[in-house]
Amino acid sequence: MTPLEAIYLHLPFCAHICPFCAFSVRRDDPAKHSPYLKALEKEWAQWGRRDLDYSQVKSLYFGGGTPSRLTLDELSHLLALLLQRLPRLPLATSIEVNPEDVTKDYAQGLWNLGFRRVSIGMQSLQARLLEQMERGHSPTQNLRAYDLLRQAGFAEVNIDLLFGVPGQSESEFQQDLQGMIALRPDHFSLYLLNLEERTKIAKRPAWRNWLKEEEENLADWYLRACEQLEQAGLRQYEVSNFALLGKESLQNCSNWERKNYLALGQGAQGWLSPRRYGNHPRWVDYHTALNQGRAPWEYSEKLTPQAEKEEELMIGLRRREGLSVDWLHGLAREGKPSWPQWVAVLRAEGLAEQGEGLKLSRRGLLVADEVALWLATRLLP
Amino acid sequence: MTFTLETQQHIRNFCIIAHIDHGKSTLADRILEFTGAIGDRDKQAQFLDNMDIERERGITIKAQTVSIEYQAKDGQTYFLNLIDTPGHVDFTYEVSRSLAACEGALLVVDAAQGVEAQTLANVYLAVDQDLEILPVLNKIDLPAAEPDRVAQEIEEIVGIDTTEAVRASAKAGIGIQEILEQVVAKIPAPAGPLNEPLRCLIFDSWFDPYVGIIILFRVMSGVLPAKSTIRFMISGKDYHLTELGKFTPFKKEVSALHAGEVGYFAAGIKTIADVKIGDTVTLAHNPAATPLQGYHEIKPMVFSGVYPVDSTDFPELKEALQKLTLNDSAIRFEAETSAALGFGFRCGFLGLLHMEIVQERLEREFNLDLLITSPTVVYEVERTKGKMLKIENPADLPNPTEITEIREPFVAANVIIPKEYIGIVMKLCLEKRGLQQEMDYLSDTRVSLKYEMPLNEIVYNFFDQLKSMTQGYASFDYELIDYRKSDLVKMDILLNGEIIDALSIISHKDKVYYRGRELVKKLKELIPKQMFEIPIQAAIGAKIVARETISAMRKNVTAKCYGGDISRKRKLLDRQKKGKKRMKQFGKVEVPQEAFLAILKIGGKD
Repeated sequence: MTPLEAIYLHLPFCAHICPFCAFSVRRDDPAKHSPYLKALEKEWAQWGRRDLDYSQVKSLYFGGGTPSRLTLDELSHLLALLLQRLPRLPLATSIEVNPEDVTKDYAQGLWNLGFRRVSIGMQSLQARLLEQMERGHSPTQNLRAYDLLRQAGFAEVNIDLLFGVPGQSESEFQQDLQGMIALRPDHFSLYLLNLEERTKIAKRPAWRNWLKEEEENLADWYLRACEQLEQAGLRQYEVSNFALLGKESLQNCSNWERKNYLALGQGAQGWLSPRRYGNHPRWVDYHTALNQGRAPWEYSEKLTPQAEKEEELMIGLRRREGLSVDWLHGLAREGKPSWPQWVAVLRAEGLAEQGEGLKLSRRGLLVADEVALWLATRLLP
Repeated sequence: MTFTLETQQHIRNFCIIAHIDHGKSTLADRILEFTGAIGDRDKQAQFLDNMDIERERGITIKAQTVSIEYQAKDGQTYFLNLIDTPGHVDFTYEVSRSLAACEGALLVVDAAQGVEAQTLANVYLAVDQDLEILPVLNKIDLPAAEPDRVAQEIEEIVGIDTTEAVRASAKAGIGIQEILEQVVAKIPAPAGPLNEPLRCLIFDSWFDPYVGIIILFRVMSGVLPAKSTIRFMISGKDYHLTELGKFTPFKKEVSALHAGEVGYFAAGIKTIADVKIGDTVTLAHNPAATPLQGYHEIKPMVFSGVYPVDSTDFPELKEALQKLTLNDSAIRFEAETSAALGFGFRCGFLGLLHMEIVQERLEREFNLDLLITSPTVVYEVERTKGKMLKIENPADLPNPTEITEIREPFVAANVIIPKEYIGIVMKLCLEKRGLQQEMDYLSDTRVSLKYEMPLNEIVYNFFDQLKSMTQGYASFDYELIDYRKSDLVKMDILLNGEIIDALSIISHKDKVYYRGRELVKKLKELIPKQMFEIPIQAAIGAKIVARETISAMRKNVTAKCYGGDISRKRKLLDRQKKGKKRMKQFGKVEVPQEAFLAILKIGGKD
C-alpha cells in the first residue's frame, strides 16, 4: 500500500483571470461547476482502484483558480466524496479564497464544513495596485473578509501579498506590508512578481522592462520585508513563505519533503514516489480523458535518481533549512566531493550562511534559481 | 561520335553568378529539367544544392558541375557545361579558376532586390577574364519586381548592356528557353586546339569514399583518353586514371575528353593536399611544355584557436578537422594548448568567412560545441637571442624585453564602392592604418580605392564595417604584399583577476587603448550577469588600461514553487543546464562562446 500524506484538489474557476497568472484556470461559469465536479468524481473513482493508504493523510488543500467560486453545497459534496476514503478531515484542511467571495455566511459555512485553515488572496491593501493587478476586490473587502473568517473561528489564516507591479513605490509596498502584518496573520506569503511565460503580462513590455530595471530595488524591498516579517514573529521558512512558529503550511512542507500526495483536477500535479504525474491543464483534454475512462494525465513519468537529485537541490535551496551535509555527500562522484569548494564560493560571496550543510542567506534566496543552476552544472552530471 | 572541331563549335561553357537567394540553384534546376537532364523522378527540391545527398555521403560537394545537351531552335544540338562556382570573397582564387574554365556567365539578379555587393566581386572577376556576361533579371513574377530599375542599375554598376537581358522567373519556369538560346547564340564556343599536347585546368576537387579524390577539370588543349597516365604539372606527380567521365548530372563514363570539354576523373588519389586547384594536368608520356597561367599556392591568412567547449570532445574535434580537410585543402590545423581553454587546435583559414564556414560545418555536421578565439595573422618576431619566430597565437608572443622587432603582414586591398561612400570608406581605411595608393573612377558612379593595409586590421571586422557603412554595396578584395616592421603590443584580458589567454590580442600601439576599452565594454555586454560581480580588465603587461564590471545578478527566483510547479521547474532547470554546458567555466565564472570573438564585434568608431 502506498501511504499518502496529502491531497490537493484543483478548482480552476476565476471571476477574472489575473494577468500574471500561469496556472490552469478558466473564467467562472456556475453552469460548469456540476460537470467539473462530476469529472473530479470520476478521477477520484479511478484512484479508488489503486492500492493507496489514506489513513495517514495530514493535509487536504483546495487550491485554484479560486475555490471560493464554489458554493458551500458544492464544497460539501467534494468533502463528502473525500471522506469516502479518508477516516476524517485532517486539521490542515485548507482552502484558498478571494476576498470578494467571503460573506458572513460563507465564512461560517466553510468552518462548519470542516475547513480549518484559510488562505486569502489579498495581494494589496491599495485600490490603485489592486486595480493594476486586475483583482476584483477592494481594500475594504480585504479587511472585511479577514475579520469575517476570524469571526467564523479560523485560527490559521494566510495572507498573500504581491508586489513589484510597474510604478509601485517602496512606500506603497511598505503600507501594504505593514497593514497586513498589523492584521496578525498566522502565515504570510510574500510574492515578488514573476513574469511567467504564457501570461498576459509576459506580452507587456512595460512590465518586463520595469521588472528588469527595478531588479536591484525590488531585491532590496524584499530583503527589508523579510526582516520586518521576522520581527513580527513570522519566520521565513521558504523564499516566499513565512509563518508563526508551528503554523507552517503542512501541505507545502509535505510536498517539499517529497512525501506522496494525490492531486485531483485539471492541471493538478501529484507525486507517488518515484512517479510524478500531471493532469491535462485544458478543460477539454481533462474531461475527454475521464469520459473515455482514461487517466486524465498529460504526463506521468518515473523520475530518474538524477532527476530526483535535481528536484531536491532546487527545492532544498529555497528552504531556510537548506541542504544537509549528508545530502551533499550523496553527490560525491567517484568518491570525490567537489561541493565544499562551491559552497565556500557561495559563502564568500555572502549568498550562503556559515555552518553545516548549505543554507542560502536571504540574498542567496533571491537568486535561488541561479544557485540551483550553477550548482547543478557543477555537481550533477 | 567522333569529336571534331565542328563538335567543339557546339560546346558552351558557362557559369551562373548570383547573390545568395537570387535564385542560382533554382535556375540551375530549371535548366536541367528543361533540357531533360533530370526527370520528375529525380527532382528534389534543388538538385544542385542538395545538402541531404552531401550529408548522406558524409562529405560536402563544394561545387557541382553538369554537362547537358540542348536542342536549340536552330535545330542543332549543343553541349552545355554549367560550371558551379563557390560564391565568396575568401574563395576568390577558386572562383577565378572556375571562371577560367568558362567562356560566359549568366549574371542572375533578383529583379526586386537589385545588384548586391557579393555578386559584384565575382562579376568583375568574370569581366577581367573576358567572359561574355548575359544578364538575367530573375523573380519578375514577384509583385515587388522592378525589372526596369534593376536593369538600369546593372548598366550603371556593372557597366554592361541590358537591352537584351532575359526577364525570367526560375521558380515559375519563365524565360528558361530564352536564357538557353542566348547561351547558345552569345557565348563563344571554346577554342582550344585538339592537336597540341594535353593541358587540363583543375577547378575543383573533393573526396569520395569509394574512388578517392574526384577532380573536376576543363580540357584547354589536346585530348585526354580514359586510362591514361596523367601528370600534375605543379606537384609533378603521376597517376593512372581509374575513371573519366562527365556529370549529366549523374556520373557517366566516357572514353576521352577533348579540348573545350568539361569532366571529371578519379585516379586513386588519397589526399586532397596532392591536388591543387589551378594545377595543370597533362599526359605523362607526352607532356605539355608549360603549365597554364594563373596558378597560386593557397595559403591561410587568418589563424584562430578552435577548442571544444567540453574538453572531453577533443578527439572528436580532431577527427572532424581531419574529415573536413578531405575536401577543403585550404584548412590547416595543429594541436595547441591554452591555459584557459585546455587542448585545442590552431587553425589557418583563407579569411574570416572561410573561418565562419568551417566553424559552422564543425558544429552542424559534426555536432560539436566550439570556442573559437579571435582571429589573428602571422607575425614575424626578431628576438635578442635565437631565431626569428612566426607567431600565430598572441599568447605565444615573447616578453617585450626579448623582442627586437615585430613585423606584420601588409596587403594590397582593393575596395569598389558607389561614389557616395568615398568619404566614409576613406576614413575607415585610414582608421585601419591604410595607406592610400590609388583612386579610380570605374564609371560615373563607381570608384575603386586601392590601399596598402595591415592584414591585422582587416581581420578585426574591417569587412563587416565596410559592408554596413555602404549598405552592402562595397566589394572588397586583398592580396598579401609583404611584411613590415610595426609597433605592436600584446594586450591581455583578465576576468575576475585571471588572465584568459584565449582573449589576448596583438594590436598596434596607437590602437591598443581604444581596443582595450571597447573590448572590455563588449565583453560586459556578451557575458551575462552572474551571481557575483565580475571585473573585466584589459592589461598591457602589468598595466591595466581599461576596466568594466559586470554587476551581480540580484534576483532570479520564481515566487512560487509548490507541488504543481516542481515538475515544470525541474524540466526548466534541465534545459538551462544544457544551455550552461555550452558556456566555458572559469572557476565560478561562466563565459559564453561568442565572448571569445568579442573583438570582432567592436564598433567602427575610433
